[in-house]
Amino acid sequence: MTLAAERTMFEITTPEGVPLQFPIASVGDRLAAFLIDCVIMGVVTLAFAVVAALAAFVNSSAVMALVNLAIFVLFAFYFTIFEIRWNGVTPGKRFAGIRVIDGSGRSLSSGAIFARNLTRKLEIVIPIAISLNADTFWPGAPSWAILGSLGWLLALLFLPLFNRNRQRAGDFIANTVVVRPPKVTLLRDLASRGESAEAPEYRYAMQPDQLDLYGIYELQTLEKVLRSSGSEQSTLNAIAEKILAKVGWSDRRVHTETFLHEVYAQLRRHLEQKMLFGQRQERKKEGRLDQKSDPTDR
Amino acid sequence: MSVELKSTQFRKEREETWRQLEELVLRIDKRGVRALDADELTRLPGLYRASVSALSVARAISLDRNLIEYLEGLCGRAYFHVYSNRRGFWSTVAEFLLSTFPNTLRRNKWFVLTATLFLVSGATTGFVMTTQDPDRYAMFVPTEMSQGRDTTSSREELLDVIYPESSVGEALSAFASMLFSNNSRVGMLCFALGIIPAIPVFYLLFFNGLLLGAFAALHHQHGLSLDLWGWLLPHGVTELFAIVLCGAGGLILGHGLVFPGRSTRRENLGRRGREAATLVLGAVCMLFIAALIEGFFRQLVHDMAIRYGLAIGTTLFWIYYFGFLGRARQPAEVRA
Repeated sequence: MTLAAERTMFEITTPEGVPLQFPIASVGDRLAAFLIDCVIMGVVTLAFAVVAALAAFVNSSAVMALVNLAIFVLFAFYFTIFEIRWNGVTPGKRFAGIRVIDGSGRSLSSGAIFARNLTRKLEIVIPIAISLNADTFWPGAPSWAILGSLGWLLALLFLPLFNRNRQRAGDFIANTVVVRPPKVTLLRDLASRGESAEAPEYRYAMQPDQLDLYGIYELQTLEKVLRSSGSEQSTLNAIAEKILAKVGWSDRRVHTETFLHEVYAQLRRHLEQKMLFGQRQERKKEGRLDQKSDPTDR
Repeated sequence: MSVELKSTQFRKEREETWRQLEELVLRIDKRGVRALDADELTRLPGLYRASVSALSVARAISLDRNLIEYLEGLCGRAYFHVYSNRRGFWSTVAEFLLSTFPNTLRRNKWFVLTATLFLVSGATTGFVMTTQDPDRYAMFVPTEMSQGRDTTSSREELLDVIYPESSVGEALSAFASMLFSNNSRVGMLCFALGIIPAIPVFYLLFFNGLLLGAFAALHHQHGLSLDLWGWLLPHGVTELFAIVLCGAGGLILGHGLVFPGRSTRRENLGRRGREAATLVLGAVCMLFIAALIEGFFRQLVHDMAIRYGLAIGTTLFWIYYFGFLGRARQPAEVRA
């Protein structure tokens, strides 16, 4: 069995009928979230233990009973309570930036949260307990049975690695997925020319046949390069030279930044217009234009 | 050349809405829904829907990758909050207890009956086998569970457990809470094991039945049957039925996994799993009641008539609860 290829996106359709995609949380993120939650539970248990010790000191069994109950509730329902109150998030998940969502795009119901957290014991506590001391579960069990059940439980534990949505057994039961919603900031529109809404005057105005050479992929790659602050001048120059060669302007000298921004703006207008007429050009065309002198050249 | 790009114009017209939504979402992310006042709360769905529709438009007309990614992220984060479960805690609890739980049980009555059958057949087997050969008692009942009662116990020792001498009120609450947490653990385990196609559930149910039967046989031999059932039934009706429900939950899971019907195994497990979880959650509540009865009532009340009275009372109550309560209301979740 090989690890299932990680599908990076999980798609739901909102009740408005709009598909939304979320990056699926990685196993590492989830493990980190789980460990943080464990630490929190451990600290709270410790606090309870201190209370219990004080109670034993004054010999109050009512307090002991409460502590016993509280520890039970903590361990059995920690995840359930937080995920219900915080809508799919626990303190650990919040720290790791991940959350539980309903697999079918409806709101996350309390029933689903309860169901997905019921199997935790089976997935984590029992494999550990069996490997430490099998006798408590099945006194006098033959070793093949212990090995078999241990293997089975380990398979459950590693289930997230073997399916594309990284779902645990509990996620299957409840039909939930853990995702990592991205935080994207809205940046300046590269094609916008500021507040002045006059007709744009391009220093390097290109012809339709030149713009036809490129597709959406190239446009968005150019966007990425222009938006990233870390782009080296030499990279920009190289890109500008490549474009110049392709569109048949290899003898022109240009101001790199202005040129690239103008290429972006013109190409986007061109491609968006084509899109409105139903033509989506995804990739660039092969080959290059012959040397041409542009009439608008100044 | 014409003026601005269509997608740029579009962005200029709508951007204000997105910024407002982003600000609200950011605050909810940080401090929860309570961070918004009533006015902002009423604006949230409108802003969300406007942004979602903007996302649809942007996907069709814009090639600005950052813009589309921003809107996808924004709509995604707002979606969690707009479609969150914002019903009050107590109304959820009431809905669960008065309608969802009994209705779910009625829908799955065959699983419940199957689980009951396994428990009863285990009990019968345990009773018959222990009656034939009392030494088998030790085989069925682990020492830590028998509270010192085994085949060597005299009639008086058995009676001592059934009618405890000193009822120290303080210790009882600790006893009750211990019973509750222990029973709930067993019940939830019973459910969780259902994902290993149901076989351990059969085993657990049967084994618990065996235990009960062996126990009954031990007391029967000393002529204490009536006293034992008086000791066991007041809480036992509730507790045994809760364990049966957990087992039924496990069976539902196993059944959903082995016989997925027309949907895929995964889909079916997702759907049936919630039903099963509902039963288990209800069973945990029942176990809590059982532990209260077991921890307080049984230790304090020794009169057999009252003990049987309570046993009959709880039986009637559960028959009414599962047979008739909430029939008129249909649970919302099942319809979808």
